Amino acid sequence: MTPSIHPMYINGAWREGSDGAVADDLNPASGEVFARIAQAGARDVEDALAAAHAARVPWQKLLVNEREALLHRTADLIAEHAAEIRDLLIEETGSVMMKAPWEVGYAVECLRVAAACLRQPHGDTFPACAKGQMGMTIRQPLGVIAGIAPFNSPFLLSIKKVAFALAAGNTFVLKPSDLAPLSGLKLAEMFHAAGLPPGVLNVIPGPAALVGAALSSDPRVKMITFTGSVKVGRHLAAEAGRHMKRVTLELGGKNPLVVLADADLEYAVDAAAFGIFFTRVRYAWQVPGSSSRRRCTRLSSSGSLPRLAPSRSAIRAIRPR
Amino acid sequence: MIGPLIRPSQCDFIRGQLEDAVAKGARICCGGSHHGPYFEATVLSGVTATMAIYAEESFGPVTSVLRADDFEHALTLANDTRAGLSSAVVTNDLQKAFDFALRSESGMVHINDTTISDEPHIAFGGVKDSGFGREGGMASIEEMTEVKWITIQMGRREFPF
Repeated sequence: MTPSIHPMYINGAWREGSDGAVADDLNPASGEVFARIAQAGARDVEDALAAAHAARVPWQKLLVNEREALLHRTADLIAEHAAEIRDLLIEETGSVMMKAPWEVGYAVECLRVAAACLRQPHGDTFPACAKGQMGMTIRQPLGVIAGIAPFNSPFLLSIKKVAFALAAGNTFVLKPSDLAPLSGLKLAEMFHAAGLPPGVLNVIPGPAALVGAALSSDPRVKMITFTGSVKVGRHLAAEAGRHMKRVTLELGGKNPLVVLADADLEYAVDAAAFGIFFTRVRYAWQVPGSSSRRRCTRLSSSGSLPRLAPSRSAIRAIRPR
Repeated sequence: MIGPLIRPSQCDFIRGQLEDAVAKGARICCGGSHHGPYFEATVLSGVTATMAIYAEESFGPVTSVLRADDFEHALTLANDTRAGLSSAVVTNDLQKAFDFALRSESGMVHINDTTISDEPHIAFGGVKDSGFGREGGMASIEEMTEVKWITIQMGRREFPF
């Protein structure tokens, strides 16, 4: 059976792409087509930007407690749909049972934190050097923010961008990862069900050459927030500079874990193994001084490396379910 | 515990990194191959700066163990990367732990913990090629708003001319 086509979310409505383009969304465990995703064309991107631009003023005028309630309602809905979203993450991205529920729980907390931020002070007052003058700073929303999300934690990292942007009074156009578009569309479904006004969030899967390029150059977009590769991040930073937009980039890592000679070795191995096999780590081993050189010899011949070796521990490849 | 990689080309990429490392003298302590999209948990030793995997991210369940001569050397190795997302140090020596935390070229440092950590209310982000800006809590609000300075003059100000 051919999977049905998932529409995109623009101005509070679901629709297929204006060019009729569709892309396959593969299950990485089986390699089979898991879903078919409508792809945004130039007209869809324009409609999403126009909707977000038009929605920004009424969204900014909502009272703090109204925006707060909406974020909490969305969090409640995600919590209610936790099992469904967990299964989606497993099917779409190969996320394992340890990670997928954590990602959903994080999304719920993230919305609650964003709601809490609404009630925080957002400015300062200043003494002045001119007689009788008083100064203050206030924080105002930027307007339309464009987000480009990755595949590795697609639901969590999409919500982390959208929740805070909306809390701060901005509207949003999200381009989910080509490898995990349904996670982004699911987010729109939850916000929609919570009663988010049309245009405040728009989710448009589509080719980077078209969607990414349009979002990073359009003057209505005031900020680009991206999680992904260094290569794309460098390109987006250049585009942001050219068009004078703000940009936040969460790019790659090569994260070292350093174990000093005095460390509890069992614990260090556990910490390293979790870091490596949950994500990716570079593990540096320190062996200073004469007393530990003996330790080094012993460990390198039969101790530390085999102990980190997953064949000796419980770490092995498993099917996501 | 380890799921499939996101696409077959990622397995090819990592296999290429491992072949390059082994050709230049690294040793695969465990793992090293994949079964369909499932890459085995892999640990390398003897990795040196001439190998691609020394600098490149694998984005898979692969890690390298590097031996350092002393604390300074370990710190130098830890910082010898274009990335600067997070780092970790495992020790009960508070002086060295903080010394490492202050001098580590990364956006996040975890003492006696793993390198991966994320909380929605805390500023997450890296330095160097890991990007800029922070996500989470009030850090996100600051990134996503514009500061405006407003002044108000009480009574008549005296101008110089």
